Amino acid sequence: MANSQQLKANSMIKITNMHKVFSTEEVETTALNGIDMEVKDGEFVAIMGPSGCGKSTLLNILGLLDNPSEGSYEFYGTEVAKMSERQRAQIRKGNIGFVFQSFNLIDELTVYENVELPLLYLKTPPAERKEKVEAALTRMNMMHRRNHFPQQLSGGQQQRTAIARAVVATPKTILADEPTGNLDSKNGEEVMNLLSQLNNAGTTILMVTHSPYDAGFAHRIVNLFDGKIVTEKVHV
Amino acid sequence: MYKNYLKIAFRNLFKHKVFSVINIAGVSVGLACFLLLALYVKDELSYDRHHTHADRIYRLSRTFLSKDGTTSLKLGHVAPPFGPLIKEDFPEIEQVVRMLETGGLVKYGEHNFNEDDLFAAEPNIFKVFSFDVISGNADKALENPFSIMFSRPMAEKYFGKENALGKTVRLDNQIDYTVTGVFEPLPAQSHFHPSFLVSFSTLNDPRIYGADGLKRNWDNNSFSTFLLLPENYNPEKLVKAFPAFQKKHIGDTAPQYSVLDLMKLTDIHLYSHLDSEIEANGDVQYVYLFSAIAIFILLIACINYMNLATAKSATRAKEVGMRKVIGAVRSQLVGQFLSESVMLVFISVVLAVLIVVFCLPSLNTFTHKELSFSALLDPVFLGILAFITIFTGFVAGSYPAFFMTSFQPISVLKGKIATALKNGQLRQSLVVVQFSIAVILIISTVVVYSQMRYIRNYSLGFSKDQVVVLNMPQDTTTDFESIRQRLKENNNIKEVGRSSRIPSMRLLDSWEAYVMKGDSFTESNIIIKSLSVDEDFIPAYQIEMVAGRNFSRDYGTDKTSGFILNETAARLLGWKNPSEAIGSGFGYGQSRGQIIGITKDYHFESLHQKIVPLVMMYQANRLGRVSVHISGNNPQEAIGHIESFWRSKYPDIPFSYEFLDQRFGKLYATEQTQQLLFGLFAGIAIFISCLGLLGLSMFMAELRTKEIGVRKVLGASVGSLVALLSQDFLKLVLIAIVIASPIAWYGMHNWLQDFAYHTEIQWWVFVLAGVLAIGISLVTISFQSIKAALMNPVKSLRSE
Repeated sequence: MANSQQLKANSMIKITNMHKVFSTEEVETTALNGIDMEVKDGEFVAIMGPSGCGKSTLLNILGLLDNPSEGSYEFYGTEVAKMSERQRAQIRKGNIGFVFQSFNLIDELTVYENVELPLLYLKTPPAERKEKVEAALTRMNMMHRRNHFPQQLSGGQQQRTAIARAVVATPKTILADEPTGNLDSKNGEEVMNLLSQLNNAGTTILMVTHSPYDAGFAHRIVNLFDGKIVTEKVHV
Repeated sequence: MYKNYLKIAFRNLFKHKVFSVINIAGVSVGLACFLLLALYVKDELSYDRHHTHADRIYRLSRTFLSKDGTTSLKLGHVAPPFGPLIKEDFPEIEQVVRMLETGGLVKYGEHNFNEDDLFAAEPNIFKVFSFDVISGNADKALENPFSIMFSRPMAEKYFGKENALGKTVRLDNQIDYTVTGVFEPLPAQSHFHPSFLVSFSTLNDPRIYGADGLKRNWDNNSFSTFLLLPENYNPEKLVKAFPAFQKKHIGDTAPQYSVLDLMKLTDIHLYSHLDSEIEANGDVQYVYLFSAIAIFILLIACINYMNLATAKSATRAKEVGMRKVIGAVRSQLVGQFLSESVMLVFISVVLAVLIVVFCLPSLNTFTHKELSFSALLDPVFLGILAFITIFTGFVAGSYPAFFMTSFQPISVLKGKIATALKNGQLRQSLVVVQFSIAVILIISTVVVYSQMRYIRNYSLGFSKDQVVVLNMPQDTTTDFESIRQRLKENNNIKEVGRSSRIPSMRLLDSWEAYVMKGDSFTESNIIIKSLSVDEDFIPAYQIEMVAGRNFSRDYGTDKTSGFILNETAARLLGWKNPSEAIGSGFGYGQSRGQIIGITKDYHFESLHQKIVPLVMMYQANRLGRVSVHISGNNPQEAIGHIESFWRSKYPDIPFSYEFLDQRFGKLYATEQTQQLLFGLFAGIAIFISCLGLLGLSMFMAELRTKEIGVRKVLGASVGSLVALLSQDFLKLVLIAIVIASPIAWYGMHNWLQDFAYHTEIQWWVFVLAGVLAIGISLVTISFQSIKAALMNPVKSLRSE
């Protein structure tokens, strides 16, 4: 099974002619319609576009949460488009961290336990686990809240916890789906700065956003419309 | 990782307190019922197994056949000569032991009690059965005539702390016996419980039975006879040899009317329902019935747990989704849900055990048993308990575990799972199963109840109220007239009648009837049961004469040659009209005479038995039972009068009496217990089902919060919302009623066949059960649906 050590190719993500069709009994909806895209190691890419253009679908497929209907997806040189959920889960673990608009913290676990969870699934030894969780929390400035439950935190704090959880296993890539969507501008700014710092430290970041301001933090902006990439803009 | 699972499990438990309470309460109550019933069933199955040779001991029984080959009488007792002759003819049999149950007045100094469980037994009783003889020599104690052994409680009752051995007691104010031993009483799980054992050789005394009778009386079938067979011996071999054996000893025709059979000791309690038994036995039907109820209730509880756990799992969709995103594989999530479920069941098991400890004394009172909690500590039982914990936990946890984790992580996070859960067909079917069981139990309870009421109100054809029955000492036959006069001095005593048996007893004496054809008596080929009565028996019970007259002091011949038949006997003997029979010649056994009267049919035996042809005749030496019909105005004074008469007439004999209607009540004691148990368990089944319904309605209301909000914004009334939320569940309950009704009808129809006289299952029983089920579920659901319907729509929409 592939793991972070084996995934060495320079081109982290390469997708070719990708389609995604959602079908119910009566309607077929084409969410992605022939996407070609490449993301290099250490890039910060923002995906933008109007509601329903296929941004989140693309991100889910990129994050190996879903399979495309058609086309090829190479993740560090490995073809993953036809993999089973079990195989995708194996690659996800430790390679990809996720940050959602609605945080998706587990309500029954404390801040510390939420951040610890990915390491438990990676079977990290307890001492190393403690070290990593505390490092991630310190980095996100959440150590003082480590024993709180998500309901006891502000939106910004919850998102910082979610980012801590996303980075704790030091993944190569972080996928963020509108990470500032539920935050006020001050907290939003803080989250964006954190993502930038992670990117500067070498983590590849793919972010879906509506906000041109947030997109300004990225190296490259991909604009999606009706399931197709319409423009690509590179920041200098 | 497991620590993490446990943490989540406990936090979930506390977060959803109502849910948790409902869930744990349901499983623990269900499990407690299961355990209680299991204890009951285990007890029923353990009868007579404590004897070392239990699997080799067989009881001899004797069946009498009518001329047409049908069984007329089936006895658990046989005539006294059988025992020794069987031992003689089949020497390979290790032991044959005979016992004769009797009772009598036991007197020691000031202690003077009427005792029931007195058994004359051969000395080898201790070689066959495992008694714990705590004083005296078991090998010799029953060798000499007039030896008596006491059970430990009896020894304490009569002798206190003194040593019983060597003491002299007097039986029936007549003969002295020497105490030769004390034994521990047999456990409750025994089909016989002697309080005293008297040496069998005592019966040789002509005052008691007589040696000749023991050798030659083939007609007195009152001796329990047990065989200890050698290891690996096939009892069928003996049964096949019995006809020849009877021919040899009784005569060539013996096998035509008398059949010998064997029954394994350990089968007696559950399978033996003969016309004569030492004690009333249990019934394997009840073992099946209660096992079924136990499994039903456990099933309902498991279904509940499963439904609630599934429903609740929807609230954990986000957790499942997030765990998957982070990298949990399915097996890890399944493991998490299952271990959580098993843990919850474990908590319920602990609670259930506490409930059992608390409820056991009441169940014992209820069932007249001595069930003990220690039976639960038996390794087999503990194994079953562990199995149930894991099984229930696994089954109950499996659906949410496999269902929840089967989704793509992204659809779980998007809330698609909740939509899928809304239309859970499995959950709906489970609710239907659950309510079907509850409805079956309701219908059964109503039918059992109405049958009991039917029996209470059924006209027996005689008056059983205000009749007091007494057991007279043996010497009353000669001067009974003066006793009657003395009793009737009080105005509250209406009639004093005597008979050989009293209503509520079994009729066991039977013989063939002879009728006049031309000038001679010929066999009628009809077996008729008989009863000895005096002139005052029929008036005392207000039995109606349909033709002819009662026995009368005015006709001297009545006592020697008068017969009174019941209508059934007259009809079977060919008289279309009862009055035609009057004056006809009639013979019964050795007696010949004529029919002087025909009574209306009356129910001498319990309503389990059909009315049989019966002849009443006057046999002065068989009139030991006295029935006193007293005035309903002042029963206390009447009994006071009888008692003071008794004390002056029989100062040495304790006074005891019984009301006949109470004796009749006891005939239906089993059914009464059954009625109570049915009612109780139906109630519990409904209770658990309702807990489940409550939980589910809470869950559905939660899932439909947005829908309710939108409907309210658009102007829906509270009433219409309650109806909307209730109708889905009511549909399921209605389906359950439709499924349950025919099943319940079939089961109860069969149950009623056990009664020769029974009520019919009325249509309204089903309507009543339906209305009850719907009513109870409606009330349950309305708790939640009204609350949901009253919620502020702004709030519900925002939370979505």
